[in-house]
Amino acid sequence: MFRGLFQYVDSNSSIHRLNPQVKLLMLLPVLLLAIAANGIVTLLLVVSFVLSLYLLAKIPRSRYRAILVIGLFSSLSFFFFGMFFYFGFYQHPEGTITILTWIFRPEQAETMPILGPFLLFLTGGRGIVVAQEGLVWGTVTTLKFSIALFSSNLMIMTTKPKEILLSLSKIGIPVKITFVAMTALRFVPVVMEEYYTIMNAQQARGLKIKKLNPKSIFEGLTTTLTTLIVNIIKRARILALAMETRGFGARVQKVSYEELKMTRRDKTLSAAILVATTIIIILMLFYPYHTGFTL
Amino acid sequence: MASILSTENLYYTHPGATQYALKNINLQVKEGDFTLIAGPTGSGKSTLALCLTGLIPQVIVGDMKGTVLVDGKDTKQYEVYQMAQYIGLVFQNAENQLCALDVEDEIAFGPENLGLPRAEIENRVEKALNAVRLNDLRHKYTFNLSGGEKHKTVIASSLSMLPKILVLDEPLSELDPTGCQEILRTLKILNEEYGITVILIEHKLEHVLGYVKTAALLKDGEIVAHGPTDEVFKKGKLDEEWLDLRVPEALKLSQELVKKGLMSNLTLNTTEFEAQLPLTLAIGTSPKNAINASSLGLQGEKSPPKIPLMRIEGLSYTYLDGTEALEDINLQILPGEFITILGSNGAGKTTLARLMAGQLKPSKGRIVMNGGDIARQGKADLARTAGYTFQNPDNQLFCRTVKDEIAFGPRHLNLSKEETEARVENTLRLMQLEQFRDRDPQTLSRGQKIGLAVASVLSMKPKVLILDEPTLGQDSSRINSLVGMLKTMSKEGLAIVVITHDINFAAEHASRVVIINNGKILLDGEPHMVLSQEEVLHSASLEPPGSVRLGKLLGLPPMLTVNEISKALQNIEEAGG
Repeated sequence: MFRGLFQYVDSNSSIHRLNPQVKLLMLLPVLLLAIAANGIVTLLLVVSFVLSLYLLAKIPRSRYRAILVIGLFSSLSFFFFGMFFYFGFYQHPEGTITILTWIFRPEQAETMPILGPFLLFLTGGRGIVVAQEGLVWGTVTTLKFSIALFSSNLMIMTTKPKEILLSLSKIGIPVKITFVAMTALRFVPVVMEEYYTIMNAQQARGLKIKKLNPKSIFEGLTTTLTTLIVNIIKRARILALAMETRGFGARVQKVSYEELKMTRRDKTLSAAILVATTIIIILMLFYPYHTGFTL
Repeated sequence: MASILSTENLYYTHPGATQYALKNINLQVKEGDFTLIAGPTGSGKSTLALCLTGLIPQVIVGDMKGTVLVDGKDTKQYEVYQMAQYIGLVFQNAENQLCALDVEDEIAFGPENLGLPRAEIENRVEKALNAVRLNDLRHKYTFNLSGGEKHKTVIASSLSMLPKILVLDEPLSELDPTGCQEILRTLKILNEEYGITVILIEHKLEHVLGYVKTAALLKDGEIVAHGPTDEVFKKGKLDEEWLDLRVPEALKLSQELVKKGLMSNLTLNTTEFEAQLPLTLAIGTSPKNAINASSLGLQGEKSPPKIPLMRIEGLSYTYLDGTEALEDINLQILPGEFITILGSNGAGKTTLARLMAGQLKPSKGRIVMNGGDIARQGKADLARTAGYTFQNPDNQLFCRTVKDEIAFGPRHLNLSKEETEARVENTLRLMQLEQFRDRDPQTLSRGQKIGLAVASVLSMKPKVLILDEPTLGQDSSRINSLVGMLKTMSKEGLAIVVITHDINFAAEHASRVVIINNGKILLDGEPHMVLSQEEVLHSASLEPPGSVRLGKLLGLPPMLTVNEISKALQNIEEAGG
């Protein structure tokens, strides 16, 4: 299901052609907004901005599935949390929040044998309500999470791992660290493929995974993971030898074959991003209430 | 010419081992040579490759005695990255050696690490791409390449270090015939046009002998023959044991004929063989004239009609991205059959096998087994009747001991304890794994692992057993012992389906051969009928077994193996005499 998430999409769109450092820079105001902004309208604007970049990047439709599933799941869980626990969790004084409807009143605890006290314990003795504030909280958190997920995914989908590597080492991160991270990313699809093969092999030997039985899930996972890890270690040893024979670890300054070129378009865009970031910070500091910022 | 690579009294012991892995190796390779190092599995070929390139002793520990000189430099005194500029190494599995995303980056990886000026890197990448003819694919992603192309990329990435010597460890073992030819042609170009000394380690020799100039044979860690290819293979040193190496059939047959006194010289290929014809049999005539059907003993016995175990009806499969993998496949599998499904890489063989095991759902058509469509039977339930082993045994062994591994299946079938126990013992005996009963499966050799993977499925007593490429990286004695065990089972009614691109395997063992190309069945039938149709096989990028040509040259009806030919000749003689 998650095949294709966080994987490069081969294309030559205008987003692909941008200098990766500019793309990294663009993440700055977007993520700043995701963290600082709390207004639904503002956040919606940012989400639609990020999604319009997806269209510009010409991401094929099949690649949207995984990200939409994750987005949906997380939003459901945020809403669940916001609806059921906002009231109990934050200990708002009675009357300060707008209760739309009661789902579980503390009085009901007595009529429900085991579940009652348990729910009471979870909610700090206050019960469960659907409150307007809880719904707002769920929406805002979903939007913030989506912005972070969508924008970082877009960065990876439109930038060659090699270029990410280069731009990270340009800002001072050691090559060995970035290389390890990138190799891990490169092998994700291979390892996933192998994981499915091992699961299939187990099912081909009569293992039925009962979806709701923790013991069965545990048994399936431990056997699969052992095999998977042994295979990964074997593969890593070969890769290490292969890298060694190609000079990895030579005591010289590594040179990069590809150069990251800053075109005029890149420079203009970087300037625009910096101006936008400054404006956002000014708005955040001086007009937080008008623009949906509350720090 | 001087030796560019030489070893002196080289001994090596793996850490913890008591026996030598390499014993007294004195190898001299001249500049510009194309050398083959051949030997059965476990003879120390790969260990030798690691020694030649300096990975032993620089990276891999163990006890090494003696010296290895590469272009006059002692491997003990140079670090791997320095040595890499004199000698390059390409490992067996190309996939595991790729560290960058696209072809160009992969090739630039080495020179980048050496910290060369950018212009020099570009120059080297360009040259390496030219040498392996990959210019058109330079921006392609390595995971989208074919097997042969991946190997060429790895070779190019080694070339960009500008080595004088290139060592390749079994580069052909996972490739189909087209891929093999591609790599051998590339190596020939590197050797002849670029003057690179090539050392090729292989045990699959059918295609190789036409390319190499010299050969060294390795057995139990020792070099037992070394010299020009002709000498090594023709001077009668090739006793029975060496036939394990899968030598060309022309060589095998000529050896038989020389033994019988029918031919005077050994021949390495079909052309040489033809030059020795016509053959005069002891009865004073050529086989062509003495032939009659009764003398060949080829009439098959008619067996009573059987009820098919599995019926595949109008099966099609389309991948998510719209590629059609299989189109309108119809097959019936009868009890006791030994079917091989042949095709080049990407023909749709594995897809068909996985559909048969219920791991994929057909886009169209159906597969009927146990009186019902298998799409409606769960994977785990289907496992009782259709057993499946994957290409890579590492992916299907996940228990702590061999015994547990075999018991895994029966245990999930809810059998009684006694029944499980009985099946495990029975399977251990049948697959000759008794002495490994308590070993960790991961410590077994590849051949043993394949045997265990098969055993772990057999213990569920399936009616159809599907094996995906069980012969990869195996020498013939191991393949033969596996097949022997399988044939015992098939006498009891088990139907065996083997997916492979190894045509000699089909020729030797199958009772029925199915050829698949581009997702369609081209031919389906008795092996002699199918495998002698050279043109159809060529259209599926397959090479008919050497014996088909040899048999034709001798004027015999379609023959599939050297044994068949020599038996046929014997029958003719007996009938005539």
